[in-house]
This record gives sequence, C-alpha cells and structure tokens, in this order.
Amino acid sequence: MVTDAAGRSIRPRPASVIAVVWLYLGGSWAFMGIVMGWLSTAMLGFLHVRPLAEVPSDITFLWCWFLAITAVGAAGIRGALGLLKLKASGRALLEKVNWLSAGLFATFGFYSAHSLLSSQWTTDTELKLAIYSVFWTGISSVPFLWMGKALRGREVRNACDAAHD
Amino acid sequence: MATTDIPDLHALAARQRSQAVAWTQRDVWLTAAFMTLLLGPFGVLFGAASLISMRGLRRAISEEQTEISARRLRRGRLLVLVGLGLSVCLNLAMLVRFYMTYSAMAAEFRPPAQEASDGN
Repeated sequence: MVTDAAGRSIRPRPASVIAVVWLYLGGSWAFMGIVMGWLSTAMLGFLHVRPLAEVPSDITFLWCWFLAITAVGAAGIRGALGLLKLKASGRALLEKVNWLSAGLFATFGFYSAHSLLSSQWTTDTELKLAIYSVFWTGISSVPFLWMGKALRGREVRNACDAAHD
Repeated sequence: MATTDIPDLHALAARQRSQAVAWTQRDVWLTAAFMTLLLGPFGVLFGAASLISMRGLRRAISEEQTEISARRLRRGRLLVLVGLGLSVCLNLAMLVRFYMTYSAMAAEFRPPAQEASDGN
C-alpha cells in the first residue's frame, strides 16, 4: 500500500469518499434492518397467534426487504473497510453492493407501483402515486450507480492493484 | 564559476507524499462531516460546525501550511466524532422509545369481535 513515513495511507479521492459513505450507510442499514426485521418477524408471529380476518401480505415483503437491507449493509461495511486498505477484494465487494442497492431501490419502487395498480379499478391518485414511487426510487438509485461506476473506474482499480503489488 | 542547485529528491518526494496524505485525510473527514449532517439534530449541529471549522483547508494544504492544516483537520475530526457519538445515542434512545410504544400497543390489541349470528 502507498503510505507516508508515518504509515498513513494515500488513496484516490473516489475510494476515500465511497468508503466513508458506505461506513455510515452500511452501519445505519444493518442496524435498522436488524431492528425492523425483528419487529416484522414479531408481527408475523403475532398475526399467527391472533389471526386477523386478512393477513396483510406487505409484511412478508417487508420482512424480505429488511433482510436484504441488513445483508447489503453488512456487506457494505466489510467492503468499505477493505477499500480503506485499498484491497482489491474490498473494491469488488463494494462495487457489487452498489449495483445491488440500486436494484433494491428499483425493486421497492416497482413493488409499490404494482401494489397501487393491482386493483381492478385504478384511480388517478393511485396512478400518480405509482409514477411518483417509480420516479423517486429511480432518482435515489442514481448515487449508487455513480459509486458503482466510480469503483469500476481505472483510477480506483489501478490504486488497488498498485497497493498490494 | 556557476553553481547549480541540486534538488534533494528524497525530501521533495517526502513532501509530496505528506501533502497527498493531507488531501486524503481532507477527503475522508469532509465526507464524514457531510454524512454526519444527515444523522439528526446533533448530527446537523456538529456536522455543520465541523464543516465550518475545516474551511480554508484546501488553501492551507496547497500552500503547504502544515501546522494550520493539521490543526483544522484535528478540530474537524473531533467535532465529527463527538457528533457521531451523540447522534448514535439519540437514535438508539428514539428506537427504544418506538419499540416500547408499539409493543405496548400490540399487547393491548384485541381482534374485532365477530358479529353475532341472528340464527338464520
């Protein structure tokens, strides 16, 4: 790894920025996913003990959603720690995590739109909400696409390759 | 006789390297300060204070004012870490409160009573 006399590492700017962003995001996603996933599980158990007339199917989707968020957050932290040390494995993992996050946001948007539009008669308000949900989740996935592209770029890849030659 | 100054290449390389480290540190702690801004009330307070305290860091690094840049970086880093710690504590407290409120609601929940049959 490229270091100064005191052993502090030198990284390209995108690597530093993306690693720090993912340390924050990964921590909050993993933590939120664990707590909310546990609550969703408790809610599923609660509905099993005291069945309602109709079990909301969204709870099953939310459970899967929070599980995915937890897994992505944990992988993000691991990749970010690797990228801070300019490890090629960390860079590759974080790149995958970014593509996956963009995919998760898109899935959430399309699922919401599908839920809103699946009734027999769709109102104008439901149609507008479906369009908003796809639009805003699409916008939210742009930073992840940017980070994935930057991690795939020559600057970060060369730095990782040079660091452990 | 004309004399030629021979630059000390090792010293030059060391100086460039230490400046590159300062740029890397600046990238890391500016990003951390910005992310801290998003962590709630304490995050906004300390993240903004950290960003303000790191103002002029770019000029200090490019003009090789090592002491000034190190001092600004140290102050920004301290503010980020304090803001991060306080925000995590506050968010944990809010989560515990959320959990206690909803678990109390769930404990009191009774399914709606079925309508009595009229015998037909």
